[in-house]
Amino acid sequence: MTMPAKGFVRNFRPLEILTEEQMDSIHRGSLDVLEKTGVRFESQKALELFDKNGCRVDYETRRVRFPPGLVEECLRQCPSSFHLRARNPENDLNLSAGNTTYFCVFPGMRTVDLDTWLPRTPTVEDNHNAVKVLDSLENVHISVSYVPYCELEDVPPSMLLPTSCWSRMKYFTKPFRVGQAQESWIWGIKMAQALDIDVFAAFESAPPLTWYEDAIECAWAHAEAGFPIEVGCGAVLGGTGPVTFAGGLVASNAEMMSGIVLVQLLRPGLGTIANCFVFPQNMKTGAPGFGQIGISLFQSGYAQMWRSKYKLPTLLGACGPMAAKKPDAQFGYEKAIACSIGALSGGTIINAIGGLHGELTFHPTVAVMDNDMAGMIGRFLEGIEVNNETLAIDLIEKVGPIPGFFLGESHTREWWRQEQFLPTVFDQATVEEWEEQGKKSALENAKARVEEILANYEHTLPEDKEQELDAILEEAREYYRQKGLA
Amino acid sequence: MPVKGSARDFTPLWILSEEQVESIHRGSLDILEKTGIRFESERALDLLEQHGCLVDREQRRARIPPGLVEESLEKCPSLFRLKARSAEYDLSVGANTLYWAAFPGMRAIDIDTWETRVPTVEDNHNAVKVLASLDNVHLTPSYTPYCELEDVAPAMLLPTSCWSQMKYFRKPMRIGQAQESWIWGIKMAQVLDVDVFASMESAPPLTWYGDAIECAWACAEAGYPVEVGCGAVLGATGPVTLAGGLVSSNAEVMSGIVLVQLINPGTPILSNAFVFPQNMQTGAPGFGRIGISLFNVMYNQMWRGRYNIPTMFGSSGCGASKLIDYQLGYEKSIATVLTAVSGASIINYVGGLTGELSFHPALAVLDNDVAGMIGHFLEGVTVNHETLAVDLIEQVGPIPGFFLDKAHTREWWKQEQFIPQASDQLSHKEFEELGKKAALDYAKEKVDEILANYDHDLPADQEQELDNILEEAKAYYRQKGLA
Repeated sequence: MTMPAKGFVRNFRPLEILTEEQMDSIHRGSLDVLEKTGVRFESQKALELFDKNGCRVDYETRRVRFPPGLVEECLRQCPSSFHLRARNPENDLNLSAGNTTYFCVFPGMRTVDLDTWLPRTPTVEDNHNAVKVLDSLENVHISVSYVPYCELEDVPPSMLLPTSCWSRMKYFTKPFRVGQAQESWIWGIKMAQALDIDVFAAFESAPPLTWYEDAIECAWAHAEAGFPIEVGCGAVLGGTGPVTFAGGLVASNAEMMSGIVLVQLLRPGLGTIANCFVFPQNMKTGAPGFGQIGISLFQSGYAQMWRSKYKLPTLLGACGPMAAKKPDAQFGYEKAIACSIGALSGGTIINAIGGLHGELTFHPTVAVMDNDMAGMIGRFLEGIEVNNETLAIDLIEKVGPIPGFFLGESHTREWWRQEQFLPTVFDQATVEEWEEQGKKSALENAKARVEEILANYEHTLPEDKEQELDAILEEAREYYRQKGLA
Repeated sequence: MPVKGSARDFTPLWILSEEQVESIHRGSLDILEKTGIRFESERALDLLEQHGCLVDREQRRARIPPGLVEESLEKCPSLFRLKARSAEYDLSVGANTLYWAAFPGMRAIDIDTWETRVPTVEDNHNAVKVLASLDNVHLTPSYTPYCELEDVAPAMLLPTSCWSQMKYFRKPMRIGQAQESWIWGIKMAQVLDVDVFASMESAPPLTWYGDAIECAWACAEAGYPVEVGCGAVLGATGPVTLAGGLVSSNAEVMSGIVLVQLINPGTPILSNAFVFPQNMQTGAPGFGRIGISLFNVMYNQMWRGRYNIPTMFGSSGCGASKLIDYQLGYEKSIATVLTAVSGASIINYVGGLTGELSFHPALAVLDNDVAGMIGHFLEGVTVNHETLAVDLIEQVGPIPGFFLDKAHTREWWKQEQFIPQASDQLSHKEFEELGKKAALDYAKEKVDEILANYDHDLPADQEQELDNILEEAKAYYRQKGLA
C-alpha cells in the first residue's frame, strides 16, 4: 500500500459539545424513528432487499421500518478507515474516523465576475482551468461531484455531470466523488476503471426520510463495483427537518442510518463516508441559512456522533457556501468560523474550498484564499510541541530581562519555520510596504497566484488514457442523445 | 443581575496534556526562582524582599520562591464583579462566561481610500457611543477606541480617552498605565461610583516598568481589580517556540500577580495575553497568524484550567490585512473562535483593524455580529424531549412531509437561531435588485442609525465633575511641561 497524503493530523482531543447522555438520547431517537416512522425508498429492488433482511416493508407507501438490531449491525460493519487511490499515488487518501482532516473543493453552479459580482455560466475551458488550480493547491486533498461548476455553456443538463467528471479525470490528480443524477455514475465508474483509480458515490437522501431512485441506483452501482459510498443528509431545519438542532440530528441520522443499512446489505464492509449538508432555514427568505452559526452547532454535534459513536469518517459540506455574495469580511468570518469549528470537532473532510455564495457561485481566486485559511486551520490542528528544547528554559535564563532579546539566538533560527505557518497570498506586509507596493489585497495576490498556476500547470495524463476518457464521454453523449436528452 | 454574556455549555477545547501543563508550570517557577524578574520600582523591590524574595538591587532583579508564587495565585478570586454606571451592565467575570470588549486602534481609517487619519475628540465620542450601543460589547480596554487625538497632547490622551468613555460608554472599562493617567481614571470612577480595573502590562522579556507597577499599586489600594498582562513577540522579546513563549509569559504574569497580592491580598486579577509570533520578514508582530490561536488556547488551559484565574485576550482583535476584507474576516474570526471555545473570560475584539493602527466603528458593527455568532455557538445545543422532536418527526413522516407550518417550528426557531444585524442574508436576486449592498454597507448604515438615536443619559452634575477632573489633569501635566 502506498503512503496516504498527509492531510492535517490533529494532536489533541476534539471539541465535543454533546454529553454522552445527550448522544444516547439522539441515537435512541433515530432508532425510534427508523422502527416506528420508517423511511421511504423509491426503488422496488431496495424494498425487496429490505424485506428479505427482516425490515417491515409497506409496498404501497414504499415505507421501510427497520429493526434496531439490523441498524446497529450495519453501522458496525462500516470500516472506520479505508484507502482512496488517486491518479497520483502521492495524493492517495486514508479516510478514517481518526485524527486526520482533509480539505475538499466546494462547487458552485456558476462562476462570478470579480468586478461586478454577477454570476455567469462558465465554459468547459473555465472548468478545466478551475480544476487545474484546485489540483495545484497544497491544501486541497479531495473533491466532490460537480467540480467546480454545475452549469456549463453549450452542455445539455444530462451531460453536465459526465463532462465535469471527465474534466477532473483529466486534470485533477486527487480522489473525487461521482454524482448521482441521471445515471451519470455509469461514466464515472467507467472512467475510474480506465485510469485504475478509486472514486466514491454520492448517495444523498431527500429529506424528510426519503430516498429517490437516482441516489439508490448510484449507490447500488458503486457497491457492485466495490467503490466507497458517501451517504448524505441535507435537511433545511424548519423546512425539511425539525427546526431544533437535536431534532434535526435525530431525523438526519435516521436518514443516514437507513442509507447505510442499504449499502451494507449490498456489500458488507464497504467503505462509507457520513456526509452532512444541513442548514438552519433562513426564516425570512425560506432558503437554506448559508453562513449561519447554526451550521457549526449542527456539524459539531454531527461530527462528534459519527466520529466517536459510529466511528465513520465524516464530510462536512455546509461550511462551503456562504450568505455573502463576494469575498468580503462577512464571507471571511462565515467561512472561517464554520471551517474552524468543523475541523476542531474532528470532521474528516471539510468541504469548503472555492465556494462563494450559496451553491450558486465558485471562483478559483476564492479557492486560492481558502487554501491559505485551510493551511492555518491545519497548522492549528497539529498543536504544540512541548519538550526541553521548545520549553527553552535555559535560553530564557541566558537571555534574561530587558535588554535581553531572542532574535539573535540560534534557537529562533532553528525553530521559527516549524512553529509558524506562512500563508501564500494573505497580505503580511507592514503598512509602509503595503502602500509602496500599490496597496494590494489578498484578493489581488490570489488573482496573481491563479495566473501563475495556469501558466505553469503541467498536464501529466498519458495521451492514450486521455483518448479513452474522450471516448467514454462520446459514448455518454450518444447514450443521452438516443434518449432525447443531448 | 449582571449582564449575561455568553455562557459556554460544554467542556472547553484543551490542546495540552496534563503532563505538558505541568512541564510549562514548572518551567515558569524555575525562571522565577533562578532567572528572576526585573522590577523598575524601588518600593516594589522592598515589598518583594520583605516577603522572602531574593533581590538584587543593582540589577533590580527579584528572584521569587515557588511557594510565594503558588500562594499568590491561590489568593486570586476565580470570579469577581465589575460595577458599571447602570446595574444592567454590571459584569460577573470568570467561570464559563465570555464577555466581549472593544479593540482599540491608534487612528481612524477612511473606508474608501484605506488611508489612516488622526481622529478628533468628537470622533472618539462617536465611536464610544457606537460601542456603547452594541449588544455584544460588554467592556473596553484603556485607549478606546483611538490612541491618538487631534489637538490633544500625548500626556492627555489617556485621560481624554477615559473621560470620553466615562461620559458615553455606560459599561465597565479599564484605565491606562502610562504617565500617571490612572490618577484621573480612579477619580472619575469614584465620582460615578463605578468599578474600573488597572492595566499592568509587562515589558518582555521578564521586566516591569515603573508606570505599570504604579498603576497596579494605585488600583489595588483603591480596591479595584488589576489586569496583569504579558505581551511578548515570539522570536524577539520571547522564545520563538510556543511552549517557551508560554513559560516566559506565564513567569511575567505570575511575578506581577505576586506583587499585586502583596499590595492588597485578594485583589481580583485578570490574566491578559497579548502575545504574537514574530513576522520574520518584517520584524513586526505577526498579526492575524495562526500561532496567536495556538498560544491563546494554551494560555486559557493554563490560567483557567490550572490556576483558575479569569483570562483576557487582545491578540485576536486585529489582523494583518489593511482592509475590511476576506483576510481580515478570517484572521480575526479563526483566532477568536479558538480563544472563545478554549474558555476565555474576555476577548478584546470589536472594531480593531490593522495591527494596533486602525479602528472603525462600522467594523465594530460587523464584529458585534461575529461575537454574537460565536456566543451562540458557546451556548451549545439544547437536548430534551421537545427539541428531540421524535413525535413530530413521526407525525410529519417522509416526503411530502414538511416542517415549516408546524407550531414546533414557530415556537423554537428564534431560540435555535442567531440573526446577525449587519450581514447580507438576501438571495442573489434580491442582492442585485437592492444595489448589491454588502455587510460593510449595512454596518455603515447601522452606525448612522445608532448616532442619530443615541440617548445621552449622564446627569449634568456628574458630567460637570468629569469635565473638572479632566481640567485638573490638564493643569497637572501643564505644570510638568507635558500639556
